[in-house]
Amino acid sequence: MKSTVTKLADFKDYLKDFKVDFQLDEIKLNDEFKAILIKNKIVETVGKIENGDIVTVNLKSDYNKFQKENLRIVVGSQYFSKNLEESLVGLHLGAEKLLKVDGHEVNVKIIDIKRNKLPELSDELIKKENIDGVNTISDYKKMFYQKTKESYIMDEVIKLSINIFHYLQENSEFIIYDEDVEESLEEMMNYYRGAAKTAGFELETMTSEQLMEISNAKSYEALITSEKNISTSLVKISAICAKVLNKDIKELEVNRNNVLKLQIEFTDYLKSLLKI
Amino acid sequence: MAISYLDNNWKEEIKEGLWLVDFFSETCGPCKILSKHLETLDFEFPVINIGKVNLTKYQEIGNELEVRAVPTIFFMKDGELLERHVGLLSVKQLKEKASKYLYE
Repeated sequence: MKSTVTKLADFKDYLKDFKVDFQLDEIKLNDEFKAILIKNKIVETVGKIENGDIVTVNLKSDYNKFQKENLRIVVGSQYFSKNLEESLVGLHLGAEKLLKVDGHEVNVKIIDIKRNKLPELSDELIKKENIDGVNTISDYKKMFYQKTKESYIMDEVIKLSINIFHYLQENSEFIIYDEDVEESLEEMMNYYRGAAKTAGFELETMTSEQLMEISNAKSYEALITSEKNISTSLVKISAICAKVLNKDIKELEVNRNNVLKLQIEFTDYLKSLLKI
Repeated sequence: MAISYLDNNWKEEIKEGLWLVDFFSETCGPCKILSKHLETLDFEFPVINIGKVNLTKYQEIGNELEVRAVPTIFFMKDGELLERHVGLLSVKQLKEKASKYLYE
């Protein structure tokens, strides 16, 4: 790529204003703990049905829906029959009862009643998660704090780099070579040609409706204009990265993959400047 | 009903009853989310057997079933495929599908 930045705008103010205002997300942490507890649930056989119990029943009735053997129902879930499930509450293990459900007589026999319970969160359960260096609830909290903080900072630095790229494109001075823009444009148009072919069309002769299926443009000409703008922006971003990172990119092909790699390097560089 | 990890013998394991089989890979993000959803399903609505097949470990199963994307979910009754779903399902969707195949 031959295009270069001749005068880079000063972006130091963006760095000065950057603040990390991270707070632990207690709700997400509790969700993670709950997932661990669910994995280690305790299943008990109980004697009397309550809402939420997992009940196995034999049903006898003239009505086909209520003629079942060894049927598992989660009482109160309403997935089988709201009225039948309500009538089961309070019945004992082994009980047999004639119920009237939705106008049908149903003979119900309770074969099994299971209840799922969550255990207490303990260091033992945390150890079972098999996470390196995490053996206690306190370790887990620290690990979660660190992990989510790093991810938050990365998101914030990426947002910052997007703002800086936007500012530098608008306020720096460039020498842009058409051949660099054309190289990037060609890559994108090849992508759209491929997408059109997969859909059974020729890109150049697609109708507005067909084109909207594979892009945001309403016409071939509009697509070229939009992609040319994006390509110019990619060339500028590459030149900015080369200048800031002091990299020689004369041999670099202008394509989205290469630009993305440069942007990642730029973001890492920003992170080092921010000392976080 | 516990969640079972299945291997090359998976067809034999699921030949009786109603099963949800989750074909996953070790590096796929949505597979990890689905895994949590299945744990929740097994806690809140344990009416269906749940099996998991690790396609990173058992690639030949994925090839045989032509699994092109993960997670892929099979709903099976007595060894017969009822539905093949590609992608994530919420806990509510999992409950609805399980109850549909169990009760209808």
